[in-house]
Order: sequence, then C-alpha cells, then structure tokens
Amino acid sequence: MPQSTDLLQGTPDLLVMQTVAFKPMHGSGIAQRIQQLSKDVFEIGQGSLYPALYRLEYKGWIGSEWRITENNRRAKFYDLAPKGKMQLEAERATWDRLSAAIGSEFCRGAEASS
Amino acid sequence: MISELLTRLRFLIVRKRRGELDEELEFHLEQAIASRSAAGVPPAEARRQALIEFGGIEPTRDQCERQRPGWWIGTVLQDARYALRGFRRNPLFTIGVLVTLALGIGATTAVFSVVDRILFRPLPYADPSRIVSVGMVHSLERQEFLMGRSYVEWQNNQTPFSVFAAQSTMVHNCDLVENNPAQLGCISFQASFLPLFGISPVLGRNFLPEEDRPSGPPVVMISYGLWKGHYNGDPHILDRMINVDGNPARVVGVLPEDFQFPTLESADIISPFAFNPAVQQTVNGGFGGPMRLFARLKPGVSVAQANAQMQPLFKGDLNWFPASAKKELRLSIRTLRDRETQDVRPVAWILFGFVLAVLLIACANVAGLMMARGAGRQRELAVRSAIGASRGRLIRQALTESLLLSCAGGLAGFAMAQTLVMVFVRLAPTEIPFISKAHLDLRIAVFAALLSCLCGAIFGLASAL
Repeated sequence: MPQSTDLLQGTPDLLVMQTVAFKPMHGSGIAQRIQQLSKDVFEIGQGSLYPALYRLEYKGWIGSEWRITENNRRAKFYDLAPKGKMQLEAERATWDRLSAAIGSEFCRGAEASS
Repeated sequence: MISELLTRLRFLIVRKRRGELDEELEFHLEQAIASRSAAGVPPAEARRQALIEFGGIEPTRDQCERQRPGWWIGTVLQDARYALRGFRRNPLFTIGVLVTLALGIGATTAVFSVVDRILFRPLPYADPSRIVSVGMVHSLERQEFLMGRSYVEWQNNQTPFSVFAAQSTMVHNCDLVENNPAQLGCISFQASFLPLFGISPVLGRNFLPEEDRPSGPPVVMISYGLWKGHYNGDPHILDRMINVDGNPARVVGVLPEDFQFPTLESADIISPFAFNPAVQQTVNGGFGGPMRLFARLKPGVSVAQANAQMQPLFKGDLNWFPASAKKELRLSIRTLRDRETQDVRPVAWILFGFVLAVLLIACANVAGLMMARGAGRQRELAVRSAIGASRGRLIRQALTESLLLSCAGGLAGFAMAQTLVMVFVRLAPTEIPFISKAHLDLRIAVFAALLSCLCGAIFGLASAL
C-alpha cells in the first residue's frame, strides 16, 4: 500500500503528477498548465512548485530528463514514473471517494435546509 | 528502513549539482519574462512581474535543497565543524570539561564493571534462575550445608527438584606429586554436578556414573588454568596419569575457562564425590559427612513452594540432632544468585549509587561551564538568530557541542576506567565476588557510551534551554 499524502499538503503534488501524466513538461510549463487547469483557483506560488517537483522526484514518483526545447534551450522535463502512476491511481480513488462523500453530504444539507 | 538509509547515502554521495537547479530556475524566469514581453510589457517591468510571481528565489533554492533525503546530515557535519572550531578557540574550557567528564564517566564505568556481575549479569550457567542452593543453616554456618545421612533421606523423598548434585564442603590443599610438583586446591563433586549447571568440559568428558562410586576407578578433571599453566595446554592431557597426594588418577576432562564454582571457590583438581550411602550412619557421629547441595527446581515450582515441600523432611532430620542444635538449625533454599551475592548486594548498590552521584555532580559542573560559556556567546547567538537560524537549530547546535564533548569525555573516561579497574582489582578485599573477573568488555563499553550520551543530553539541554 503506497503511503497516502496528506490531503491538503498533498494537493499540489497530486496536481503536478496529474499534469505531467499527459506528457513530459518542464517546470515553467507545469506552472502555467496548473494555473490554466485549476482556472486560477489554486494560487500556488510558482516558486513553491520546485520543492514539490524535487520532493516527488526523490520519492521516485516522477522522473526527469534534460532536453532541448523548441526554442533551442536546454530545459529539465518531468514525466510520470511507474511508481507515480500507481500512486496517482490510488490518490485519485481516495479523492473520488472523499469528494463523493462530501458531495452527498452537501446535497443532503441543501435538501434539509430547503 | 534499510532502503531509506541506502537512498540517503546515495543522495549524500551523488549530490545534485547546484548548477542544475540554478539553470532550471533561470529557465523558468526567462520563460515567464518572455511570455510577458510577448504580451507587450516592457522588459524591466516584465522581469519585475515575473520575479514577484515567482516569489523568493533563494528560499525556493533552499527548499529544494531540503527535499533531498538526508540533507540534514550535512547540517549536522556543519554543526560539528562549527563546534570544533569553537572548542579550539577556547582550549581552557574544553580541557576543563573533558577532564571533568573523563573523571565522572571513568569512575562510573569502572565501578559498573565491578558491580555489573553482582547486580545485573546473569550467572554463567544454563537457566541460572532455576538453580538453588539447598540445605540447613546454622548460626555458625550461614551457607547451606547438608549431612550425609540427610542426603540419603532427601534424595529418596524430595519432590520439588529435578536434579540434585552435591559438592564437597570446601577446597582442600592437595599436592601434585610429579617432576614439577605443585600445591593445588582440590574439590570433589558428583557426576550430576556439571549437567545441573549446564556446563560441559572444554576437553574430554564429565565423570561417568560408575566413576562416581565408592572405590570406583580413580579419575580427575582439571581446571582450565592448570591445564594451560602447569601443563602448557598439552593437547594429550586426556588419559594422562597424574599423582595427587600419592594417589595416581587419570585425567578425563578439562573444565571451561570461565567455569565458576557455585561456591565461588577456586579449585584445580576435581575428583568424583563418590558418595557412599552405606557408611553415612556410622561416620561423623552418625550424621554422615558434610556436603554442599545444589538443585534445579522443577518447572513451575517456586523457591517458597520448594521450601514448603522440603519442611517435613527437614523436620524429620531434626530429630537426630541434640536439642541445643535443633534451635539453631533452619532449612534454607536460596537461588544461586542469592547465595553468591546476597551479602554484597547492598554494598554494591551503595557503591553504584555513590558513583552515579559523582557523575551527576560532574554533569552539573559541566553544565555550569557550558552556561558560563553560553553567556559569553550571547552576541554570537543573537547574530545567528538574526540571520535566520531557528531556535531549533540553535538548540541542535548546543546539543551537537555537548554530545561531541561528552563522547570525547567518554572515550577518555573509558581509558581511565581501564586503569581504575586494575587498581580496584589490586586493592579490593577478596570478599567481593567476581572482582578478579572485572574487566572492560563490549557490554561495559556500551554502558560507557550510553552514559556519555546521557551526560551530553543532560548538560546540553540544561545549558541550551
């Protein structure tokens, strides 16, 4: 059983993994992508993205590789490692369960108050 | 756990080049500036906005560093180096602390090595807590003894013990008559004696039942010391005929080096006890010959239960004794540990307590020295905390310093204990059991190391908080 990340603290981690799951991306790209994806709901300071990236890399959940960008610049690209894929599945399942539970609770609350 | 450790080690050795992180962050900023420039923001403003959006670069870099597993090991080394520099700057303080600690830890370790065997170490026998010394005690003889006539009764009727073994009451002088004569200590025990204690000879074998009989074949076992010393460890010692007090006997076994007689006596030649039940009613005024008796309790039988079960037999035996002796005689069953150490245990505790008190005083002195030094370092600490050292980090620094000091003090103390133990062994009255066996070994070293850490933690925290 892979260790579960703490929900609130782990949310940026989850977002990062979800983002790099589509295709390998560099840090700057990940930052933009997260802002788009979350429709600016999550205000992650861009600087705090990098510790998260390093943490995930040391855990072996994401991998990295230096590549040349289309602008002919060297950049570090991150992608999802097999271990991270498993972790992501597990986290996603937890997240679904939790949000379903909270969602149903909210619905009932709404019915009761109406 | 292991894999985590390995990961740490790997990342400690193959450190990420700091350049990579810088390059990555630089790339990020460039991208951010470029996207703003493309939207028409002037370069200087674009850079400003990008930097604001990013947050602090230095904290980010620091945070990334901290993600590395085991990054704190580096800071510990840093603390240690810093501490050592501080000690060098202040040699008088350092030497003072080290000497105080060496004295405290050394004395405690030396005393511990003496009392350890009395208070804590299990006796060197198989399952020693089940072995008891059984017999009668008298106001003139406080160690259990038994007369031969009672032995016959007890052996036939006892219930609480699984094994019973007798030994002659004391070591007597005997002469080894040969080219290289020597006066030695001789003792005898039954064939069941060594198995009772779970001991087997290091060479040869135990007495056979037919040798442990009146007028059985003359055989002896010898001590390890006699074999190594007198016979130079002769590998052909077995089956050799030696002449003890004019009686030739065949050597059948050599006792282990660390074998310790339950009476704490030392003897070099052991012959079979060869108990003769037939003559016990006639010798020694009808009481039979005296002996020491040891036994192993049956599983589940406590000493108190054994005592209760043996009372009827004891009461029966009392009838043979004259009325004056009856009053003074008591049945006694004690664990072997009690027999060996009961008399000295309070003294050992007191000794140990004293020396622990001395150690505490030493720690208090060192804490005082550290605090005095700390008062002189207020400015340094203020500067460190002003440039961002957390309170935790400062406490850790103090603990690192005190642990370094206490470990060095512990090493010096261990060396001192070595000398002290030799002095103790020389000076000590022979009544302290096992004293000749006191020496520093791994167990004592671990004790000294723990002691050092404890001291370090005590005076370190005392001065840091």
